[in-house]
Formats: sequence, C-alpha cells, structure tokens
Amino acid sequence: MVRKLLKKIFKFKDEEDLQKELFPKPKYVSSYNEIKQK
Amino acid sequence: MKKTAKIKKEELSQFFPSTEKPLFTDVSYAMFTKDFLLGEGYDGYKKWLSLAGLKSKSGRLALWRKSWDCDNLSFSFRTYMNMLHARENTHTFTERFNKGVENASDAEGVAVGVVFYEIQKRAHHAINVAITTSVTGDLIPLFIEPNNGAHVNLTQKEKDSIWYVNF
Repeated sequence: MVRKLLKKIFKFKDEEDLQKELFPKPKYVSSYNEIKQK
Repeated sequence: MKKTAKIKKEELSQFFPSTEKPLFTDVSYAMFTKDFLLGEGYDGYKKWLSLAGLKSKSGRLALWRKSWDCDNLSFSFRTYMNMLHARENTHTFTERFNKGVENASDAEGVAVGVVFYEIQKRAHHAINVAITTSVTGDLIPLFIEPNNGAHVNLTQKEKDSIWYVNF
C-alpha cells in the first residue's frame, strides 16, 4: 500500500530509486579560507 | 579519497558572539555547499516531510501549520541534513581498518543548526543556520527559512537577539 502510494507520488522504479529521490547525495565544502581571529 | 573540509565546534561558536551558551552536540562538523542546501537538499527535505503527510497545500511553498511550526520545521531540517551526512559516511572503524575503505568525511555532524531569535518584542522565531562558504571561500553563516527554503538576511539587531543556537 505504502509502496504503491510512493510509486504514485514519486514515480520511483525501485527501492534504490526511491532512496535517491528522498535522500540526495550531499555536496560538501572541500576547503575554506582560514578564519581570521577578531 | 580526498577528505572534505570540517570545522570544530570552537570555530562555529565564533559566528554567534551574542549567544551566551551555544549548544554543540558534536566535536567536528562537515559543511554542505550553499547550492546544495538551498537546492537539492531542501527539495529532498520537502519530499521526506511529504511522506509523513506534511506537505504544502495547493501549490504553496509554505509547509507551516499550527501543529508543525517554526521549531518543528527547523529541528527536522537539521535532523534531515544530518541523516544525509550519516548516509554518505557509513564505513565503520573496523571496515576502514580491514578493507581500506574511506568515508567522504570523518566529521561527526554537519554544520546545520537551529537558532531562535527575536522578531518583535516578545515574539520569537526559529530558523536554520548552516555554516558554509562564500564564493571567495570564506566561511559564512547562511540563515535558511525551513518553511520555504529561502535564504534569510537577518538584520544586525536580529543577529544580536539570537538567544538559542544548537548544532
């Protein structure tokens, strides 16, 4: 039932597809300038 | 694999000089990019909420309702972003040691927190704050309204009124 509903809402193909839709791969900050002490 | 950047809780606290006792429940924090937080990340959050039946009505962006208001939105947004971080970094110490696999980040949490501030006398509001980088690579606090995913520019007075910070 839930799976059917999800399929209808998100049009996902399978479990993996659903996970990708709900939980995207985050994009991280790779580096930053050093904090200047105030 | 190149590790992503991380920030210590002591560094995070510098962004909230007016807050007496900011709360940090992790030692180190990875950071998500601004584009991700306001784009794909927020879209995923909305979908996640809609699974619980908490979605915007009739095409409106706002997710707010009396029983699901600013504190609920901001704490759930923070939790969701930490879930994304946890999903991305699943290798245990043993796996890393035995198999030589690496996580993208070894930070305990992600730098997305909740702040409460004064919007009017005796009226308070909760939103999210993420520490991320500007286009020039400087660390910046990015205030996000979890009700609609918008970037919020707090006035100095509002920043000074922040009385609760929780990362």
